[in-house]
Amino acid sequence: MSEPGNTLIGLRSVTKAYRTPAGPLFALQGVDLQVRRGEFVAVVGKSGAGKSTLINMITGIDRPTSGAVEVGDRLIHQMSEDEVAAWRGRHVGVVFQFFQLLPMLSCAQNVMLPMDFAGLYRSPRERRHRALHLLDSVGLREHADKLPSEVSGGQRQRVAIARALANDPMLVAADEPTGNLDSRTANDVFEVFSQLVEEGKTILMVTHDRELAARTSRIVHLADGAVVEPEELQDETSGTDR
Amino acid sequence: MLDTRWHKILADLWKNRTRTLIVALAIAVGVYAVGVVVNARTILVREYESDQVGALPASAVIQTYPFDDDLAEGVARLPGIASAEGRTLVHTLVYDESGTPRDLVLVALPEPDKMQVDAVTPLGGRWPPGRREIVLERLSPGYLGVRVGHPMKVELDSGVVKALVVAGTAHDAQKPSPGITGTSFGYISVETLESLGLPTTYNELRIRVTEDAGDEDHILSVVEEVEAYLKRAGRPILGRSVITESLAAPFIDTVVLILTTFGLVILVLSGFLVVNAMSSLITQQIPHIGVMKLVGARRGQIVSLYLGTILVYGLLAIGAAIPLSLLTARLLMTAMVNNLLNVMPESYTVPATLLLVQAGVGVLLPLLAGLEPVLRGTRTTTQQAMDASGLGTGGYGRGWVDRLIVPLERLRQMQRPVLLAVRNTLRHKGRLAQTLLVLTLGTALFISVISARVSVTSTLESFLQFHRYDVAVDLSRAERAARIGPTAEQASGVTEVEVWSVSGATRLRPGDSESDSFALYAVPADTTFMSPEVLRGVWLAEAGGVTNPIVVNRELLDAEPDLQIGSDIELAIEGRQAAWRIVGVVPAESRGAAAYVRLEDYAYGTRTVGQGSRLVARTTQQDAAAQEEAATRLSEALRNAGIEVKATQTTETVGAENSLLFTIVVSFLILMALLLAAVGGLGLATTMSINVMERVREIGVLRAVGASNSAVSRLVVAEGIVIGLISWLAGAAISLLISPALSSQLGLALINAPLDYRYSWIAALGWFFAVQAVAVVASLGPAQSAVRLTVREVLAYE
Repeated sequence: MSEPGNTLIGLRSVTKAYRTPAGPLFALQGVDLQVRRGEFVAVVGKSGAGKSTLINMITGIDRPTSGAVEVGDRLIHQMSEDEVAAWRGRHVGVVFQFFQLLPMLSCAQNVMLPMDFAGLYRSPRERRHRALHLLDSVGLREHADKLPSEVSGGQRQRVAIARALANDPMLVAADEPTGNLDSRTANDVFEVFSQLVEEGKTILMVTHDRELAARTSRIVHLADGAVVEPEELQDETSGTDR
Repeated sequence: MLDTRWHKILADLWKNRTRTLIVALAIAVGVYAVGVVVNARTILVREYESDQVGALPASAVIQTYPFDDDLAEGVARLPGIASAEGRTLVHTLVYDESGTPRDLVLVALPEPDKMQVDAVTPLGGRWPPGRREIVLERLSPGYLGVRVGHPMKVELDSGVVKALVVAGTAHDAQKPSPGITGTSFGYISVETLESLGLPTTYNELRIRVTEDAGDEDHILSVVEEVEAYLKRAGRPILGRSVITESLAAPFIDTVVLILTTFGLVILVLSGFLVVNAMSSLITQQIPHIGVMKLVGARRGQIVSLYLGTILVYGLLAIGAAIPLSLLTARLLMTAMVNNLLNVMPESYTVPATLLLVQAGVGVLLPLLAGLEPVLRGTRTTTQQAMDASGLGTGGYGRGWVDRLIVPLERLRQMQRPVLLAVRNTLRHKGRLAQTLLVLTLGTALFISVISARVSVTSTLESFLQFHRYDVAVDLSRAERAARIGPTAEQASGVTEVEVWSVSGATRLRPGDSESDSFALYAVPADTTFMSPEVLRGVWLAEAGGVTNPIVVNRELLDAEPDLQIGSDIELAIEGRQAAWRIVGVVPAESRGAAAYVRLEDYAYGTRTVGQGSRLVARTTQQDAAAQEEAATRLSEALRNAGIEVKATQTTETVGAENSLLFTIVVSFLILMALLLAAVGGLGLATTMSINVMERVREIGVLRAVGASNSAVSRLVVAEGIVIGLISWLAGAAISLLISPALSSQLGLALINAPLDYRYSWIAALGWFFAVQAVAVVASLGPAQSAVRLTVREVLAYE
């Protein structure tokens, strides 16, 4: 299925269908996709193309109706909800458009949370030390003990990135991470991602922002739930313009 | 340094202080109810039994001709008798500070330190009392308005006033508070009795059996042996009563029953309330559960997190509820047991095991109640939690309940917001059912309790049909009616008088057994001073040509179940026997079994023609003070005429004493009903919280399409009112079924007869407004939370 040793993510004929009164609605149709380790992949497409569904498949948040999803050496579509949660906490960092930080915990505590669940770092002191290091790496050390409501949107997103890195995952999956940010802040966040890639992380990023997508190492285009070649999209676009 | 997960728990608890308070209160109500029941019962039963054991209570009291120690000692040697002692009882009057005469019974004790029956425990001052000294039962000084160490004037039957010094107080466990009976007790020496010019022979024989003290049949068989002995000694039996339990026992049983029943009900309802509160908590936490699963939390880790939260709630509840329940139990015991029932507690402590039980309830109840919501909530997948769109869950439209309200929805006048309120209420039928259960039961029980109170009032009024006069004066012995009547009519404030006779009687059953003594009232057949409701048969005036007609009350009929209208019974009255025929049945009065005969029949049978031993009088004014004043004037007039007065009583006093008995019990019922109301209100508040929390986005949509803050608030409040209305309708309907049963049981427990039942429509209507007010108040908090969110905030997750 995947090239041994090099491929991190492998999707084979992944389909996701939703039942509606009007019949099945296919969010993904027979998607085949491979992502190598160390790649910085952008997933682009119009609204409803299936971008978020695709990333949910890879992070284990959702399950395919058919097909296989392999991340690392695990067939995650076969795991139970509990198993995939534990696996995700250890191997995948997820970043969302709206940050998804727990409002009652400080920035540092939000970053420490995955460590608590994974049990990787023994003492709270050790976890805090790592959390502060991660916040420092995203430029937020001085805001460690503030609540999310006390920092800006861009800063919250960087806290979310730090949290995503808490257990040193192999993969960072980001769903519209800059969708709620101004262009300057979006650029700052993107730079964080770029830095992570240079450090060897694999990043999969869903985005509407074609300029940012162009700065990644590869762009995957989705349309109507399927991966399409850019030429096909151009033909479509040309057709529309006519 | 705490684990981050515990930070989350503590931060959640603090940030949502209102919710924390509501949930802790929901648990605390159940713990408090259990605590009050368990603590009060424990103290009550323990101290009552301890009080009784030390008191060596009598099994029977027999009145006969005056006797001495030799007779008592002879009786004591009979088989089955543990001890037998004579007592001399003298009825006197004491005038309190306001001049109101109060009954005081002097009890002469020949050997105060060697009592083996109805023992009296000295509490303070001098014991035994010396010459011209009196030791009062501990609740009497307050009632009489006298103090230890000070003199007290007592008026004998003859009208002679003597001074006695109050030397101390003692506790007699067989004597309830004078606040209930209207009679105080004081203990004097035989020497004092002699100095008062009174005979020193005994007029009451008290016996205690060796075994089976609670078995009435066994005691009766022993008493019959004693009476045979007395008869052989030439002493007729003037009266007897068998005692299997103290006067306080029925009250204690009733109170324990009320506490236990309602305590369990409240505990169960509190459990439902906690389930609702936990559901609310978990619903609010769904997005957080999603985040935690997103970052790697397993379900078990999240479950333990929330069970830990529940444990904190339980500890908070215990911290408040246990001390409060201990305090409440102590106050209840002090007010009721100590002061009214004259049970003297030595300790108000409760065993540590009971405190552990309460703590266990405070911990286990929420854990058990919260387990299902926690398991259900943590079953949420990451995606479901992340997708929680705030448009609410729950179904509407398909169920039979939903179809029931379709006609309502078709009303042209039904506005959309009201329609929305009705539909929203029905979206979560399970949650609605839980809330309604609590509110409905609270409604039903509250109305039933108030109806019981109204029934008590009605019953007391029916009691007063037996007392259609203002003052009753009992004479020391029968006197000529021709002398009593005119003398009494001259007393100031008296408008009308009538002469009766009152004595004890016993039924001579076929087979030589006898009933307990009961009161026999001999009244003119056409009297207007007594007009009880006739339940069956006819009153004396309608008895026609029946020889020796007798009307019995319901309590006597219950004690002698073989009797009915038309039965012929043989009675022993004042040492004479005669046959009587039952012509009617009247309600029980508070003073136990009684029967009513024509004065002329009684006089003929007892050879007291033209005489009477009780004078009843009507006064110009009927308030308590005027009645007391008239009673005083009447006594003076009679004594001035050389007629000895034994006791006086005003009808206001009778009414007050009866009322007090029921007030104790009804007060407990109202306390329980208020707790139920509190549980119901909390239940509604948590339900409204959940409903609003689940529909944050829906509210945002409403706001986006033009609904103002007040419109949104009205919608939320309307839902609360709909729930309140449904619960009231159901609760009122249920109360129509249970309130007759409650009133009946209450009456049977206290006076061995059902109460005169009345349904309180005022309570039903008042509760309607109260529950609507609770619904509005319980909904306002969630409503305010809803409108505080901006449209942008609630629609942000698009």
